[in-house]
Amino acid sequence: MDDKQHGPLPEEEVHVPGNAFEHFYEHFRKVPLKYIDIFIGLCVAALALVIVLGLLDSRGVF
Amino acid sequence: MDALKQKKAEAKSFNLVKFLSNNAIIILIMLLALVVGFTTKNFFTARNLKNLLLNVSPRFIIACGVSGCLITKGTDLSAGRMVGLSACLSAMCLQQLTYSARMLPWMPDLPWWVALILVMAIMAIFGAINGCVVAFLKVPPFIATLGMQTVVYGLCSVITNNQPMGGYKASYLNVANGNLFGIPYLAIFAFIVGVYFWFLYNKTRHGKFMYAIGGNESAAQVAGVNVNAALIRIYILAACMYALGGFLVGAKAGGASTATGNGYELEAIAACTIGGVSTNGGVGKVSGILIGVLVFETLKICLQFMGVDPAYTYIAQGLVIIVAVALDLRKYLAKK
Repeated sequence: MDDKQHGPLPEEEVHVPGNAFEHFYEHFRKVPLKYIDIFIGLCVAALALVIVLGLLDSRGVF
Repeated sequence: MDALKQKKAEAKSFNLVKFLSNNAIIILIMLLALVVGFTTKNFFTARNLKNLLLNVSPRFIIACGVSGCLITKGTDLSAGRMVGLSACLSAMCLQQLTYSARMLPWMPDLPWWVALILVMAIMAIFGAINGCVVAFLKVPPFIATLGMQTVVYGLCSVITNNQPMGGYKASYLNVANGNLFGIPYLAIFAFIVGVYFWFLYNKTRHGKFMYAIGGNESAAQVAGVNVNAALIRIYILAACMYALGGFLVGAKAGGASTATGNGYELEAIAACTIGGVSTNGGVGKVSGILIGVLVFETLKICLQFMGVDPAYTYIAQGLVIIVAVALDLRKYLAKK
């Protein structure tokens, strides 16, 4: 029988159920900034492409 | 000491890369506006500027409402449908007495401001429900307001029988079309709301509570902030702003239907994000919201002037929203 005293038991942690949107940015903490920059660059390029395609489409090119 | 001095000097010196990353979308769209302005006719005209001002005004009011939710790490997806319901309720209250297709024939002749107060009071109830669900039931704002969006849309369809409404009284139409010394009433409404929100966010306890909740909700609670009450107030105020926005949108359009306000919530959230209101909470200024709305509307007008197919305009708007959130995330990660 182990009668060692370990002091008061720690209080049970109150676990509040989280959700996918809480601390959302924390999920990206380990992502290097370089990748975010590349992603932004790609989105800007896609934006430019969409505008050009929209222009061509409205002029009946395709 | 030298390191401290160096840090101070760095803080004072202008950091071009930081400036560009903080204002990338604004710079990008302003450049687009310049290109469009110099390559098309009638872009830099007083008429186009007035048109921009009229489009920006109700959207700025709606964005101000959403900003409170975003600052507290929440969101409000019911904004657009609440705008629609407000426009429909305003229409019901303010149709001409002689209009043959009156929705509510028994409705007495109400002054426009009475109708506005009535609509704001009704919307405040929906806002209070949103706030209570988020604050007491701890339902994620995304889900709670998504549910409310559908409820409000259904309710709007029921009370209007899916019929578009028109035949407004002249006094109601004048709210959108009139002006004071050349300044449209719509812009005056937006200005008053902007000043009110600036005061609320910067000079009141409620504003400080809001930023505290957005920064760290648990810490705010420990510090004595009544988080639940603050959240309910924020959602009620947001709903009142949607009511005002819907009232003005209805007056501007000269009619309302269940489709009114569709997608306004995303426009408002996008404008806030572009203007520096972090979707991660705790950050945001009224001036930023105004810039965000202006930039987003400028983008739409630019694409219209360029003759871009409207379907592609939606894709472009979506990409701008993604870039705005990615830039916000970049700012957050760079700080860490």
